[in-house]
Amino acid sequence: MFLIAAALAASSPAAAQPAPAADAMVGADVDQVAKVLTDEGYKAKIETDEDGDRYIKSASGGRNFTIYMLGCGGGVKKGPCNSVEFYAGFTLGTPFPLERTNEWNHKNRYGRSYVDASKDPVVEMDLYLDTGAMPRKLFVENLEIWFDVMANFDAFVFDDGSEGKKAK
Amino acid sequence: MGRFSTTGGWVFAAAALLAAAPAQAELVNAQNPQAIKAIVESQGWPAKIVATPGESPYIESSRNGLKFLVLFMNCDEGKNCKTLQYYMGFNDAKSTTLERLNEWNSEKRFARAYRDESGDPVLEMDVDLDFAGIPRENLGETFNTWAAVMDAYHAFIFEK
Repeated sequence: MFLIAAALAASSPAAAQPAPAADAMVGADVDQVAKVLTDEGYKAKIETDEDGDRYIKSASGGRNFTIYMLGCGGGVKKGPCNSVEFYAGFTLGTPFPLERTNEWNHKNRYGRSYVDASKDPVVEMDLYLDTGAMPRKLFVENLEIWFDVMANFDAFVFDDGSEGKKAK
Repeated sequence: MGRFSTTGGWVFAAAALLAAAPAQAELVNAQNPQAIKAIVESQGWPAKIVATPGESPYIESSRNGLKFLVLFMNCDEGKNCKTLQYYMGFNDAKSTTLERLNEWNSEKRFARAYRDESGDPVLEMDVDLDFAGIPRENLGETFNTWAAVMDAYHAFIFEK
């Protein structure tokens, strides 16, 4: 019924791969997150923005996305970050209607969609990973939820909404 | 009283325990609604479990006069739930425009705003607690985050 169902179904049956330290915890750390991505078979290119903040470029289902580390301690030297944000934006060339992102936000979970300043549709998902962080297995499931959110939004944006309704 | 007083020893032991805590943080998942209720109450908020046999339970709560729900989701006939959704809505703000909600979704994090079929502005936040869940402290932090976004949403909808 909900979006996560597919992710759960996909991830539950056979955990056949060698388990990388079963109870390892994953935090909002660029290197840690990038390693989980590559270990799971996804690309993870670490880049640095003009402020010196590092972020990850990756892709799933033929679509590029970005992972930002946010909620980082301030000061002269940046402290540890408390959360990550997944981001995927699509360039359409024609203004995307607010009625559609509203419909998507109403019917789906985990993601948050909006129309950006260029009138293009964007979807984001935030994950809180402070203090005790998150068990690796659950982090991987959240990654799969993000892939599902992004694929669902992609289909919704480009397939006139019928996919978004089906995926409810 | 010697150098290692009882009190001092206790403090030392507590500090040692605290230092050791992160390595073995207690994980909390969504399988036991009572456990989630206890965490909501530990925030100082009221919490009432509403459960109908065979249906997914939810918790009614409020803070600062704002009512909200904690919905248990991905359950098996109302049991063994795997995820939570924090939910709130205003039924007296039907004039809220989609432009305004789009502004929220573009600027804020963690919670998703939309206008429902009644024309009411709603706010939702999802937390996956599958498997063993997440450290108790982090679940508490998601409620702190939720409290902050609820306040911000209230201000965003009514004070402008």
